Amino acid sequence: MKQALVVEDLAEVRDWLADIAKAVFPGIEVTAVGRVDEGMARSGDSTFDVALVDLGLPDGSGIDVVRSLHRQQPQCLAIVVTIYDDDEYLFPALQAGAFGYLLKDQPREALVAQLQRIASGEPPLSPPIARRVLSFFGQKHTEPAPLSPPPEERAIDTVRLTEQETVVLQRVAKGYTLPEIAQQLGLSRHTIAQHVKNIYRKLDVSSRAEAALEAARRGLVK
Amino acid sequence: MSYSSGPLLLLARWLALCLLLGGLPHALAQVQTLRQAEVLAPGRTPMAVSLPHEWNEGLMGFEGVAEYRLRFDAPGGSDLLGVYVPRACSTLEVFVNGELVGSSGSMTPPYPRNCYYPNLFPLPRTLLKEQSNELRVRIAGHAFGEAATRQRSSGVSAVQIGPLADLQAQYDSRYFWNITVAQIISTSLLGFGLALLGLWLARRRDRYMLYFALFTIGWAGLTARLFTRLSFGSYWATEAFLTVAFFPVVSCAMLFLVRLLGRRWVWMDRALTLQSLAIALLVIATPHAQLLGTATALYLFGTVEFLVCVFAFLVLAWRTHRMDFWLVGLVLVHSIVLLGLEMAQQYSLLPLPPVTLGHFTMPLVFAVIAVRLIQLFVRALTQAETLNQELEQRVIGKSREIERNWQQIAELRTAQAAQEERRRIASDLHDDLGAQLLTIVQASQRGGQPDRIASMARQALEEMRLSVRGMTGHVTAAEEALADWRAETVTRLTEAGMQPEWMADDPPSDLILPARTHVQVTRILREAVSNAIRHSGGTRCAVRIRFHAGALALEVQDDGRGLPPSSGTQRGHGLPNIERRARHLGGEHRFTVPPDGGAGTLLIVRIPLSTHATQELP
Repeated sequence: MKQALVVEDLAEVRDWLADIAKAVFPGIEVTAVGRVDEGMARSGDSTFDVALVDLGLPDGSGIDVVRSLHRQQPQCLAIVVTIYDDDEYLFPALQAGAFGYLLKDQPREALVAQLQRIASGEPPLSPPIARRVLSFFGQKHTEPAPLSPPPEERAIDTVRLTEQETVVLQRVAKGYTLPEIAQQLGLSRHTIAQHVKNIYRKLDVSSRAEAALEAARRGLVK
Repeated sequence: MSYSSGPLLLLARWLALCLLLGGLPHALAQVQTLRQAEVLAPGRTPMAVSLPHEWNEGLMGFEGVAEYRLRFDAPGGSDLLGVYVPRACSTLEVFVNGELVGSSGSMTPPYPRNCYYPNLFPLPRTLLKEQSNELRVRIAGHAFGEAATRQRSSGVSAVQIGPLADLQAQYDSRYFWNITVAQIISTSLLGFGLALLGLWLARRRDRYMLYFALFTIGWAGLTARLFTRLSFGSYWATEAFLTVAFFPVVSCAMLFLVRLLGRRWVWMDRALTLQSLAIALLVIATPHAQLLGTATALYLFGTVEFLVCVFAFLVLAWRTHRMDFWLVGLVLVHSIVLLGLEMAQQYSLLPLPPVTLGHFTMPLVFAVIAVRLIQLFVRALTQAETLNQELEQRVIGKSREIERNWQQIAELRTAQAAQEERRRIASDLHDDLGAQLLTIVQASQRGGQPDRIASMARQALEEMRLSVRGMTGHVTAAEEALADWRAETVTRLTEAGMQPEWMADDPPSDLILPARTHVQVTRILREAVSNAIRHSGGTRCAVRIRFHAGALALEVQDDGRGLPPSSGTQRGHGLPNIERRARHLGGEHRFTVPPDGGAGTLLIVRIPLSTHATQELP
């Protein structure tokens, strides 16, 4: 971890986030900006290992920065930083490629611990998010198959949750914590974390396919 | 016997006469009509009569076999000959030069009722002399006056002798009109009447249909007299019955007319019933020989009564049922003409016609009225259909309107409910967030510890987050709320080093928590867990949630040191908040000790869910 990008409009919070990044990744170099356009520009001309992106920015939504970063630098760990834990805000960010989220109003130690967990491959997964993910994939599964589906739609269909991933999501949706689920399924904490990571990845792949399909549809309509 | 008729029948009658006349000129050349005869009857002096002869002329009161002797010269030529007697009442035998050439039935009582049947017998030329042949026509009959009408009173028509082929044509024509047509009419009327009866059975409200059906069936029965040869019971019983039966049938016709106009007079129903009974008694009491006179008078009476009824009908119909007026009016005019003719025949002012066409007048009336009934029926049906369609349209319109109104009301109600909910949440926001911000202000002015201030500010942020969630007006399924609460509670307790114990009922699958209830219960649970973590000093914390009897029951139990006995208002950080929130939701709360007697605190909160809580607001 050498380069970090912080996109946050409040100067004090920006500095505080930079501080936390430095605490989690010692010796990291932090680029801090306060607007969407600046964040897009940086993501175009520099390489980052990790990015902390606020969603509510003066000139737009941080989701655009997340998406752009994820497209151009897939290895970069994009993390959403927000004070709203509502899944309505978070789910689109996760679809855009964010690999987890942090709630800004927590104490420093809590934030550091969470960021460390995400960095080590254990992104958080709240029950509302789990429900959204389930319905996102569930809808795909229950949709009646057209007689001759266009290639894009087949591409989405190839992205499926495994049975165990589905079980994990269902248990999270019911309010069980990841350690509890690991215990219930007799799996290691690491394996569960791997499942969650895969779920995030599939959400991203599927969302991109869906976006492409949507774009194609619009193109056809035009 | 038929006193009313239709205009078409006049035409039919005229046509029939033309038919007859059309056949005559050719036959007249050779056919001899014998009109002079000598009558010999047992117990009576022989006398010369002219044919047609009826027994009221010189044979009054005679019953038995009367013999008519006629003389004729043999017709020339060599074709087959016949002797034709158009009418012989009740039955006859024909002898030529002492040889029997034909018979229409038994000459001993009971005589067959042959009055309407024509008679034609072949006449072998071998029996004939050139001149002065003797023809004996033996007529068996009841005393004149025992029959109800002149048509069935004893007597014989003129006798014709001539080529069989010519006579056959006349015979066939008469047979057709007097017998076959009567059979056709009787059968058709019966079928028609039964159909009408079925129609009435399917729709009892149309009483006029019933009366018309009974009238039709009755008339079909009466028409059978024209072709039925057998007497039932005695001759007298049959004649009396025919007289009596006429009245119930005509009564039905009158009731039909009245009902057709939608009227009903009870006195009329009763009077007609009584009248039928009285006439039956009168006929029974009448001496047999007087039946013809009595029956003729009764028929005249019944006909006049019917005409009066028709007239009354016309007066009423003129105002309300113009269509029926013209129809029945036409029938009336025709009836009067026919009545005149018929009466003239009965009272011997006119000779008996060769074909009793008067019998067929009634069927025409039936036909006309039937057409009218069908018209009424079809019109009613069309009306019903139109009405139905209109109704359907109106119902569709109304339901659309109701749907619109309902939608508006629903929208309004939703808007009102949302507004109410927002007002309460705003009030909560004021209570919770406002109080915390105020505390932060006070604490920072008095130089409070930065950590404490930061923690309070963080709590304020959390409050805001929750309130915002409530403000967006999202309703949450109880199932999802439970999952969220569990995840949060278990995570917090685990991170704080306490052992979590979570027990929750599965909520009803369709249970929805209002936004405010969701938010406030979240706060209560959060504060109760915070208390357990911060102040109990225990190692375990159990949370139990049950949905029961329209309420949510929440229990938070720790195994810590318990509440200080005299804590009063100092019962820890979040306790007053828990109290206020429970109260705002219309619920109740209680701090107590665990029931198992162990150490620690048990918080019990009960929040009603059934309706929007109508608690007071500060």
